[in-house]
Amino acid sequence: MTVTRLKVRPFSALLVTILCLIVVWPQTIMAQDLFIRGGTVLTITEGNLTDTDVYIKDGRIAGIGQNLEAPEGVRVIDARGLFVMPGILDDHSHMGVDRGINEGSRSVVPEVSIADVIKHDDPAFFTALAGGITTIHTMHGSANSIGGQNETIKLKWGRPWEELVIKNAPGTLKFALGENVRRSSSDDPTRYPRSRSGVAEVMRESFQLAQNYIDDWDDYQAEKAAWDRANRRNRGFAPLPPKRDLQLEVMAKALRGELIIRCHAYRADEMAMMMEVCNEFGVPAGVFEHALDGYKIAPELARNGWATSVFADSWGYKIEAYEAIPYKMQIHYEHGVRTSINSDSAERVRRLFQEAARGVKYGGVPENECLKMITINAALNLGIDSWVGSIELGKDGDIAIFSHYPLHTAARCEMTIIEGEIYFDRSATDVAADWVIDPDGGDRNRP
Amino acid sequence: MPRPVTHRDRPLFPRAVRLLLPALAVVILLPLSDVSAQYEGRVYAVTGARLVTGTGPIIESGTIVLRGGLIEALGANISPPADAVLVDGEGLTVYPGFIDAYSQAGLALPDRQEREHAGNIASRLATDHFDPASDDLAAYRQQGLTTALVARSDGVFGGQAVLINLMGGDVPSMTVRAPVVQVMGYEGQGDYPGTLMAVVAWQRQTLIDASYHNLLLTRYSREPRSMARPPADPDLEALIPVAKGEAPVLGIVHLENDFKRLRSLVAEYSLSYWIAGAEEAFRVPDLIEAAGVPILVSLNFPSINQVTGYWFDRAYRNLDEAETEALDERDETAVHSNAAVVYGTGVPFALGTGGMRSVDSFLKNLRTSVEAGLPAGEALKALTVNPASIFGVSDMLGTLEPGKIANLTVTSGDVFTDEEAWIAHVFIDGRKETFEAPKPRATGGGGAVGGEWTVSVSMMGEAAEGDLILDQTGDQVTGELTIAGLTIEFEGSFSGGELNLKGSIPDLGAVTLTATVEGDKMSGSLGLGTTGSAELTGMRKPDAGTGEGRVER
Repeated sequence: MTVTRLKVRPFSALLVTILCLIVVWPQTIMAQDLFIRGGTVLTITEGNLTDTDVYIKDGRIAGIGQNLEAPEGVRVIDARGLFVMPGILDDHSHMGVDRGINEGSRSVVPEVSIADVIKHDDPAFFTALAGGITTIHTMHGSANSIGGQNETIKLKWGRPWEELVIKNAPGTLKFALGENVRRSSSDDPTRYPRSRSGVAEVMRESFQLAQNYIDDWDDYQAEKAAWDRANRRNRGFAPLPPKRDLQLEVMAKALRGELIIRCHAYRADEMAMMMEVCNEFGVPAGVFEHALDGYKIAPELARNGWATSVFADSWGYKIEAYEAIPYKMQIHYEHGVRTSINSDSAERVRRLFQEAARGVKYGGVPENECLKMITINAALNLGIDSWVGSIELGKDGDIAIFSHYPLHTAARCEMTIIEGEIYFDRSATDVAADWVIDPDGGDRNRP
Repeated sequence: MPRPVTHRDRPLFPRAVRLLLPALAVVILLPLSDVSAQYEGRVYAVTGARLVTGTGPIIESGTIVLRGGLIEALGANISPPADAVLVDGEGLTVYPGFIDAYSQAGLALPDRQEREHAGNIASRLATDHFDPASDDLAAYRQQGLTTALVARSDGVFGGQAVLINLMGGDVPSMTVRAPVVQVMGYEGQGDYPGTLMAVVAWQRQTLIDASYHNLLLTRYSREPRSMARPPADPDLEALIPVAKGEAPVLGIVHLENDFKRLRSLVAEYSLSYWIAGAEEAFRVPDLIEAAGVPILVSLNFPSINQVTGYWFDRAYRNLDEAETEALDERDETAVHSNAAVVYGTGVPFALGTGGMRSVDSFLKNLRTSVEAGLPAGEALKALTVNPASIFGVSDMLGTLEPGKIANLTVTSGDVFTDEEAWIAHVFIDGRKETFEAPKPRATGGGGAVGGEWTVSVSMMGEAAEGDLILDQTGDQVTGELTIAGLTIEFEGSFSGGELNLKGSIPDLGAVTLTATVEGDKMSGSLGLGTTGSAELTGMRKPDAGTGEGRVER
């Protein structure tokens, strides 16, 4: 067990804080101090620690250990008898997006970005907080072969838009395969592609156009350099630069591996196609969203380095979802395919911990591995694991406190903390009557 | 010593024309059977009125003379000229004509399907789709508004806003200044860009395209033999001054985050800009102060549940009635304080009607803004000198001074504070329109229209039945008509037994509901724009209340 003694060295502490604020942690504007006493701490990456305190200073975890001394004046949360886990991540969500998540007019729209249209007062954020969620990856929809850029945000309910954004999170770009892209259920019969092979063609063409764009700019820079060097009198006309194209700029980033590809996918054959296209163009492996048939090709996913973000147990809701099984978490886990469990929903998001428990039920995935699927695995899928996804020194003070072990059927989230600030406190929330468990109607209205 | 030649010395017309002028005048005037009618009303003197000049102290009792569309003279001791039509100004107040600084007055846009793709129509004038004969304009004048900056809000680069006087025969003679400023909005265009995020991407790419077009045009003008001829693109060309930051773009924003979207864009592309709409300015005063750019504040008050952050203190809370009321009141006050907050930031600002569902509540909202902290004197400036200065027409409008355009707003009292005060006359380009004092308000009993109605609508032999729910506050009415699977929201007035409501149907346009109410019956018509109008009859539902107890959820 790690016991960290808190030593206060004012000058260096201040210096470190300032440096961190400037260089690494520009997002911790509302950072707070908080001391969580005596809970069972589920670190996710370093085991479960009983009767352990967690100290959050300036929004970051500054102490984990038994019998730590709470600095004077710091707010203390008594978590004795409770379970303290890292804030849960939902790495596939569409909450908090203003005026449309699908730019469905064209099949390739990587130039659009969720970052431009965050709706930070979506009441669903509060619902999610009540389920222990602290970070979501809110995404472009799946109507396009290549959709827009997604955004990773923290659910700082009540704070302005810019404070929610995790500014140094890597960019991610939505791709999609299958029925949604082909618009099989849409009344727009004109938009290309209309077939799965057409989707493959669109992917290849888009990457090739991006490569051409990169080449055009390289050629121009070379010509321009030569022209600049040439004798002024007889060098002729200056070369004209190509026109900047925002769509191709984003695709060029994807091609160079500077964006994480998040690809909506159901069928195994389509995932195989996508992996092949990426390999052809040297594009790094990304994450398959939903990956309903992923269990059929788990070894191939593992070999190609693709991760997945799945529903725990939804299936059969459309043709291409017929062969999904709830054992996929177990199969992915056993084959070493990193898997997160997502909600894709403003409703399911409030009980993602119960979704994770399904991994135990179907196939007996180890409990901590199930918890990883809603914490560190999702953080890895988003490239933000240095800051969130586990309770470790130096990480963001994002915490969910549960009444029981989070995979227990009676578990419910009591408190949700982001960067040391309490954003949900069940005891202090005067929840409206219709939002309390209804003995006759189940718990569907429970936040 | 020879005098320097100025443009004044140059003859207005060549000599030949000058010789022919008298003859031309006769030819022009000949078709008018009554020549005096042409001049009737073109010389006015408003006598014995309180003159709020906007340049100095108020003249408590004075005369103002208008001739040939301009203010000729004003003062306490002016005698009206012999040829003037006298208007008794006793008890009236004369202000410089109010300017609606951000407006959709008179816009007559074709239905969405018929309209041009307004992603970039930067070369067009808002008045390309303007109906000078629109009844709409009378409603603006009745609010004391004599000039408007008309801007299309349906586009992205939605064309040039035009400053236009709100009375006259045709656009060319009504126009005060065109173009004034390029408009940039956030409306999706059906196909691409359909969503808000695509609109933002479109804004960026279009600015890049305009800059690139500028590069090509500049290069081609210098070195035509070095490159292929750039394609002609008037809209991109019109956008070049904006892309270069030389001309401002008028960003139409509503929500808190719209301001931030606009701020990011102008920072990224080094644009010069103004802000319009700005209903949630009260949520971002620091941003507005830091921007320091002119802001054209609409007196459109959004309903509080549409305002950013409505849910922050309400979601999942078990609020009792008193707590809910307190929150609602807090938010109402915030919405009403919008113009006052903008005034507090110290940026140049003006007031407008843009986005208001019914312009009939403009003066009411103005008074509410004053009650919420906007000094009345500043409100007046924001309707007169401020917009005149922002739009670069201070020589023509904004104050009562000889030589300026004869636009006057004449009121029965202090319209900024007194809810009984009404607009008695407006003068626009020296033309007069007179309004009657409002009829006494309908009160209670048979005079109330609020409540639930069953209505039946028939058109060309087809009939449909629907539900009409009306909420009445004084003579202001809002309502909701549910019929044939559609829900249409209305806003308007009820006075003297006459119900006048306006609403709109997405993709179909404006709808009007006018009816005469007698007890528990109404009859009238439902106007469906160019589609025509349908007959409407209604019966009050037996158990329905007066609308006062209706809960808005």
